[in-house]
Amino acid sequence: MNCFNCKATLTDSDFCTECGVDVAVYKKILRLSNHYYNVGLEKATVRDLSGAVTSLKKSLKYNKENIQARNLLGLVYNEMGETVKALGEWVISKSMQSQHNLADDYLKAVQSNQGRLDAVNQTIKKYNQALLYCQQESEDLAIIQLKKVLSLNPKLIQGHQLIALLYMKQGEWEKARKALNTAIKIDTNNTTTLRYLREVKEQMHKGASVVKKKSDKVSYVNGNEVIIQPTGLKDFSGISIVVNIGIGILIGLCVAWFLIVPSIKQSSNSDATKALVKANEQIASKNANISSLKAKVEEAKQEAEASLKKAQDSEAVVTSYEQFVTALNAYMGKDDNAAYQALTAVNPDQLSEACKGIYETFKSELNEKLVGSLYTEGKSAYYRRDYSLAAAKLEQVIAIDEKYSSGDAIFHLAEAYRKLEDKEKAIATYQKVIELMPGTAEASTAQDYISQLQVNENQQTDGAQNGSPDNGMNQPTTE
Amino acid sequence: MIDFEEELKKFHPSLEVEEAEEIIYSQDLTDMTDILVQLMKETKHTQQ
Repeated sequence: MNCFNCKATLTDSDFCTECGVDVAVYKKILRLSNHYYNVGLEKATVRDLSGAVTSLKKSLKYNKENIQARNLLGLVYNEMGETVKALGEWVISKSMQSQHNLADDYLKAVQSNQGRLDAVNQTIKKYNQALLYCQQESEDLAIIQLKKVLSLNPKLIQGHQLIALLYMKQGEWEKARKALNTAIKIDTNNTTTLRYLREVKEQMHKGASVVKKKSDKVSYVNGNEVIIQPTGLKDFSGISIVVNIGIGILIGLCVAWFLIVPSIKQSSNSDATKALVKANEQIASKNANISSLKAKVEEAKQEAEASLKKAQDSEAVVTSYEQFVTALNAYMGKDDNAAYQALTAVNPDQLSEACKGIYETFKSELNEKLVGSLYTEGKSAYYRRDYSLAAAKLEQVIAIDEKYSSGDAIFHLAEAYRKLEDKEKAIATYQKVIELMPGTAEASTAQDYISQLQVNENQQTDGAQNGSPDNGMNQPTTE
Repeated sequence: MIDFEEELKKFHPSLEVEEAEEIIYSQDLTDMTDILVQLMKETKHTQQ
């Protein structure tokens, strides 16, 4: 303890031994300061922080240089979340005693962590903003802001008290009680906290187990749980369930009708269109295939026909050669008739040029030989009055050579017909005679016979009509 | 019954870090010792 006047060390005397100043009152003041410091320390020890603040402030009012009291006050402020106030006290303490001062350590601890200092600053700003919201009657925003503040700085007594006050205004007593209980754990004897807590307890007791709030909500306290239920909620039991289900189904149907069904229709239409396009493509492809196949079939058909024709031609050629050979064999076997029959079946166009020449020679030789023979046989038969055989033989002669023997063969054939009373053939053959030998005696005779035969035919017709039959044929004047 | 408006008036904005220096300088650090010294000086002047 030093003299306030000369800073000399004081003794037990009430006067300074150096300057002689009366220090009795001064000593009492210092003792009071120490006393309040001790009280503040005791209160801080039992976490009566606000009480400690009061005592320590008093201590400093008596002796501003009570470094321990100032340092403790800063510590208590820091514990209450009032970091800036704590910093202020420690800075002053350091300025008063720069050496061997705990404040130095505290300041270093705070200042060394810049992040924490920034967080503290942000917390303070948010708290101030919340307070502003409260003044603007924006309690909900203030509560949100305070929740953020308390999550960053859970020791801020003022924050807990303010949020509790807001809850109390809204009638949320349970929340207010929780906030106050948190605050009371930090500062056990804070008068504001205790006052609020008493108010909360009174209100909760008033409301018994159910507290009806000003707002449209009802809170139930069930053990440690708080159940909040809107007051407008009524239990209509079965009817409300049925109505709600009906409304739900109706909404579902509307959604399905207006949202799902059009999309399904669109999807199905799109699918149908795609299927149609695909089918058309397939049809076009198949049509192209069919056309191609038809063309191939046509080509194959033509090839087959060509092959058939070729085969037929080949067969005809073979047949012609066979017949030609057969005719040659028959001729060599003296069977002229068979040779002639076989030769007639030969198509000379299908023979080679060399064979064709042989064929022509052979044919003329055979015809000459055969016609002569037939003519002789025919004439012989004619004169034997075997007109049928004569006609048959002479027919063959005429078939080979119409003018054979200067038309004698055909004339006798016509005669044979006439004798056989085959008028039509006779007339036709006589006509042929006239055509082949015009102006000859045979032609004249043939004309006479034709006239005669025609007259006879008319007479027969008339006779048949008049009932006087005349079946006889007049004989020619010349034989 | 607590009056919200009245209670709200008791809450003041906290000091921000930037304001700390200003607050330190503006703080009234006068204590009883200062008053005592002042009184003694005044008494001495009066006696003279």
